[in-house]
Amino acid sequence: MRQIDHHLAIDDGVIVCRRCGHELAPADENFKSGAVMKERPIEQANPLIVDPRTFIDDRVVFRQYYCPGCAALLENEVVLASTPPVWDKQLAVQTADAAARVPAAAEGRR
Amino acid sequence: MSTIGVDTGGTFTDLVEVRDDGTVATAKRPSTPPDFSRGVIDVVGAADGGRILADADYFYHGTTVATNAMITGSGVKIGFVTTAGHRDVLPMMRIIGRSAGRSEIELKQYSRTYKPQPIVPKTRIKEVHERIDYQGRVVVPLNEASARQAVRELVADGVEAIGVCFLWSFKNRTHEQRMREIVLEEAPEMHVSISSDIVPAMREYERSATTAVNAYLAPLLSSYLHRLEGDLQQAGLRSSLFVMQSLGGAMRADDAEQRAVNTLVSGPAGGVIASRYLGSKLGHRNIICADVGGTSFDVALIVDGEPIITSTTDVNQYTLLVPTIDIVSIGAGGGSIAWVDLGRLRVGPQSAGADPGPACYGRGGTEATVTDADVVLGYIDPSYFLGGEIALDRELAERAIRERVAEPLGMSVAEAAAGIVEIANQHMSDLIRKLTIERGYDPRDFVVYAFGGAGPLHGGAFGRELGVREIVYPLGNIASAFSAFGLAVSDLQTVTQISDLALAPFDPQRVNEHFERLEEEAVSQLARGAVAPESVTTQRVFELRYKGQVHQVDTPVPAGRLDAGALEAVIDDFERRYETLYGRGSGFREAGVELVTYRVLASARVQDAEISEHETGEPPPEPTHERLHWRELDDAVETAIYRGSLPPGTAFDGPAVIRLESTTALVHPGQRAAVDSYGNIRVTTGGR
Amino acid sequence: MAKTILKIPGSERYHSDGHRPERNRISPTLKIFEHDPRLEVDPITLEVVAHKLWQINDEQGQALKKVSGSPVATDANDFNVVLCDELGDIVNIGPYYLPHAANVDFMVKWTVEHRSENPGIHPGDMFLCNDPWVGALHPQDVAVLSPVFVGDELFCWTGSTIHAVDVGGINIGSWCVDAEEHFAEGMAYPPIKIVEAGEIRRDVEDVYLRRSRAPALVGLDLRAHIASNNVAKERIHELVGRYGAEIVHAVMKKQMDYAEERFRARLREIPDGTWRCETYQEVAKTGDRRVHKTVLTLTKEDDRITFDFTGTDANVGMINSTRAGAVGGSMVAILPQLCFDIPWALGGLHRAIEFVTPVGTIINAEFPHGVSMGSISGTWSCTNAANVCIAKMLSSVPELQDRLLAGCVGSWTTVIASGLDNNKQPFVTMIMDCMAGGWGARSFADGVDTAGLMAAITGQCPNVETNEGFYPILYLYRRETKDSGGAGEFRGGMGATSCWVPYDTDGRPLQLVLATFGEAFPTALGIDGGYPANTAMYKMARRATVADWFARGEIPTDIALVGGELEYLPQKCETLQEPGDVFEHTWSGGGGFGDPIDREPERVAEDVRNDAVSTAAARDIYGVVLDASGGVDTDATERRREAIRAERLS
Repeated sequence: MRQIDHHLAIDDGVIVCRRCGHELAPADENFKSGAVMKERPIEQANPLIVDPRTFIDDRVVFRQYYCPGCAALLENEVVLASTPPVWDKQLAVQTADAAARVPAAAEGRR
Repeated sequence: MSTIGVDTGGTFTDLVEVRDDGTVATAKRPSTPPDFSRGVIDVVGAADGGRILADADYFYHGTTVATNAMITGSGVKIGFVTTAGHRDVLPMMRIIGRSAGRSEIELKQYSRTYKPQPIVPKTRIKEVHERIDYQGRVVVPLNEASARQAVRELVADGVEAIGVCFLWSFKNRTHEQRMREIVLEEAPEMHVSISSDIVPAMREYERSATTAVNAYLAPLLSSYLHRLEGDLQQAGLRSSLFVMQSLGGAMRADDAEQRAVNTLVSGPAGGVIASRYLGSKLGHRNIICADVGGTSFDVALIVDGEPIITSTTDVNQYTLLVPTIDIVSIGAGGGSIAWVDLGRLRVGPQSAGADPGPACYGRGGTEATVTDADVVLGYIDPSYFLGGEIALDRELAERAIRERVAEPLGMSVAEAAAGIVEIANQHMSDLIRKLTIERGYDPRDFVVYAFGGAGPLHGGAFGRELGVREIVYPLGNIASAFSAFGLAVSDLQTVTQISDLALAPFDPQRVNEHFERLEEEAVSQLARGAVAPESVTTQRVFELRYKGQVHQVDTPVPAGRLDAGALEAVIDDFERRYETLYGRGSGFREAGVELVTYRVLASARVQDAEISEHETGEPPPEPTHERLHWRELDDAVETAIYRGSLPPGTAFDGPAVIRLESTTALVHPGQRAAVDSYGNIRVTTGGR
Repeated sequence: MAKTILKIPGSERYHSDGHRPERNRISPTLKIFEHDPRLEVDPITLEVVAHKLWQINDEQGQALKKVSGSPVATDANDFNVVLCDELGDIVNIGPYYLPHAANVDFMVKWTVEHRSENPGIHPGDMFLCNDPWVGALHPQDVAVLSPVFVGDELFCWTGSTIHAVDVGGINIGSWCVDAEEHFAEGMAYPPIKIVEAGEIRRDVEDVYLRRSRAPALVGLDLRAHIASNNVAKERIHELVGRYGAEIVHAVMKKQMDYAEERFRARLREIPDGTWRCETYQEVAKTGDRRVHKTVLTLTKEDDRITFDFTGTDANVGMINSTRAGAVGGSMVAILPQLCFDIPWALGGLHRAIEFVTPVGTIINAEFPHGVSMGSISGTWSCTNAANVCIAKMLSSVPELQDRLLAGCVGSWTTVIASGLDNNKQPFVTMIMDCMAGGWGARSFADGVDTAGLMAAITGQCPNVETNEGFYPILYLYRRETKDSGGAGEFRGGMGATSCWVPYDTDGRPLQLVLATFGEAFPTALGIDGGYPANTAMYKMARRATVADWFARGEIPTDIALVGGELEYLPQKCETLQEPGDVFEHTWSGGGGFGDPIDREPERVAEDVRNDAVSTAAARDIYGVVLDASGGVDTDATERRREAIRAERLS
């Protein structure tokens, strides 16, 4: 397994949840394609936000991505409603050799 | 008849007795945390306790009780009261609490920086409706109901002390004074610190921090001192107990209740006072005081016979408005670790500390430290470190340097060790230079007094690098207990101050009124310490700045009644000092000169401890010789080794090593050492 | 905002991209020092001289800070000092405002290329420059560059930069919220010779100061520049006298090589990959209501890293930076997260970093688009994007994840105030309270509350008494803002809020210029499930009832209580605060790290007790239910968290 972040890792070519093992997506795809997504009004991103229409005409939304296995909140986005899911974390797995996927092999990360 | 100084340090408690025949005796015992008073009693016992206590006219004590309580967070449970809307002054710490007193190297590691643990959590900070404006006018009177409510909540919460700081209270003290009455009405036994008493100076964060810290420490320190005084008196002490302040003068133990915060950085002050005292004997007016210990390196400047005073000091990342000898801790002393990185030799900033300490301590340390290098080079005799109190292992030192430094760099062990010492000495001299220049002085106009356990070991090298005229290892072997000596020769002191903003030209009447009141207050504080008012001397200071600027420059003000002409002269002096500090052309009178704070420093000399000169006529001892490596020669050469104290009149050329009971002194090639009639080892240098 | 801004022919000449000057572009009359490349420096001398070079920089910074009278310099540390090699590569920067780090080398390089022939670069000269296209962050950031000669050969450069309080333009503080074209802003001076053979050029100084609304303060800053460069120059000459020019010069180069080598080794510890962030600024000038995006693609490959801003929106209004700002803004996030133990010898670090900054965007504007907010608009958005991308990258490295910070202080909440001060003298100032921003959460701990800025290692927020002593205002409150730290397993640090009324103004209003972004949506983002921080906010309660409160013996500690008509002021505006008006501004905290419902419930309860988190947020976001005494209701909390999980997957 190779760590992607606090929640996710790559295990044998697949992005998995480190907590429940749920397989989200192939390693060369955006994990978000396999996550549950909820798009919420921007006011839900923080209790202090006021109606954005006070200030702007464009619509900015708060998107949350969850693990379908254990419901962990994997990542949030504050984005224009028109923006597709951002591929924010993309490890270059395709080019790495198999050893690189095993964190115990320290030299694998070189 | 005699004066005693006892200095409690982190590792050792030192005692120095100055007898009225001018002789000096010392004793050393381990410190005994957490009850430091035992170490004091121990060291008195070691110095023939009954006799010296009965002989003592004065007993001066330097204590780290307050400092330790700050560092370990073990002060009393306090509450705090603020102006409504300003509860968060202390938690916000003006954001400087994240960085105050931290080095650039630490601060670049953002994810490792913190504010300190709060000494009072938000839940115990209460807001009271009241408001005073910048001119001292009441905007909203003290709302007694909200004041009483705040106190009741704090009392119910079980606080042992309460601090109070309202906005602009230094301009108008009535609300804070009434607040104290209300606290005492509700809880008659409560310790109360109000900011307009503790430090009536502008800047509410720093004033709040000073007040809160005082409340946090006062009950603790004053009970420690009362207990110690009782124990000492039971053992035969006739005099009262005096405590060292960070300003470099002592106060009566009884005053610690109101001024506990003033003892916080008193530890290193003793050495500076000792330097000033000795400097007056030797005719040295400008002194770089360098206290090099095993885990610390503190530097202060004496300019024109007086230590430089700073109006704020950082303790545990709190910025306190406590006038303090401007002592800068700039390194880790002998414990700094040497390491190799990509073919470069680096020294510090990591330190092996006291535990495990350098490899040669044999406590499991494997890193190569500066002390290990000193041992490998033969400067420190492993069997004679601190008079044999700690046996050092030369093999371990050598192994650490070989494995960590010499082999990776392809050098011999001696070259590597000499390189480590060279870098350490250069860093020390760079940092001393930095602080000297920052204060507007040129190090070449100074002499260096190098003391503390490792001062005489490194002072010769960094002193030469700085280009000073002379390096003094003060009082020979007493160099390692120099701080305790400073206690024994210190004065009683107090500071009074008040902020009152005004733009030049200043109103002479207002200035005279302020100073007269501050002087009266200062004299009466000292008089309570059984000092005759006429023996008190006072110095006046303005804290001035160019309007709109944050940096203030302390400017002395003449005594007596002042007129407009005298005040004009003070401003001229300010401008000269400003240009000294910040360079020619940096003054900017067009912006206007602003007066921020009036300060009076009052001192009284109560004891007359004096050291005496000796001409023994003893012949100088014959040295032995060892082949030691010196980097400046890039070679090992026959080096004279002296052991034990040297009689006055002894003089010789370097290279030489003097192994004293509790420290080792180096005389480098090209330097000459002479022992004077006080036993000082004085090293002159021709530069490189 | 349909106004068309035409490109000025020939303006490319001023577009510096930070490249090292070509020798054939430098006049042969300018002799340049070179050391013998075969010179060996022993490891001990190397370390000793490198330390002394660091110290020279430090002395320069101290000198500058003390002479400058401007609160922007003394409180915000909005200045920096730099030591460059003979052609401008940075050997060391001071620990002050970091975006300036990328600023001085751009300007030195341009100066070497364009000034060596005419008017020439000679010993004793200094050049003043505040041209954003040449290398300043915005026209307020004024640099003075000083060549150092050994004999008649150019040996190295020292430089200083300070944010000047006002350099002209149509709005006070030179934050030209009403402009979208540079010609309405503070004048950008390409490098001009301000000091010639050791003497200040009065004519040039006049041209510069004549534009300012605060010539006295700006004049003092100019002295600070000159004094600090003189200090550094003198010390370099001493060092050369002691160790020889060859050694000192070689150590400068080796210091950059060392930083480069260490940095490349650090990059090799990190897996190859790509990290992306899209972040926004809204309101490009007064009247605009649009959102403008900055897009960053960070690619790490072996021992190189690329910051590619392709996809960023076209330049607009006054919120643009130039390339120098994009580079400087990115460095703000790079230095503390990746180079925390590596010398900040940027000349070396830059060799492993590539910046792709498309021309004509809000992060690399075409002349003469508006750039007066450059330092805290385009530059800051680059910091926000780089902050998050690097943090996410470090989150993939078990050995380095404890070095990351979630998004820090999403924007600078500018408040420029002018009027008559308490001595009845005219003043214009930047209120520095919003220095007290919150830092992002760490992977192992909460972010620091009211910590400072990511862009400045140290800094301070002024005392209320200091501000009330100078300016005609009375604070009703200043406090840490509840719920401003982004929620997470580890919470972001809190920002704060200030609120004041005009005081002792003799009936006159205060004039305010406001400029920020992130008021409609948060811009300090969380990572790995952490929530964003709060939004910035400007509020004005017009014709409020504060006097009634005072008369009753109470102080209102919430703007919602003061009556009057409450206005949310827009992100860019100029307004008057009349004596009865209450003004409040709130600035950003830091983003969170990890899933809030993974936070230990007891920590949430403590946050509620300490007014860091509201009861509602504890329940809704953290899923923690408190009992009447403020303790954790364990069963209700478990149920609440289950319900949250269920809703997530519903």
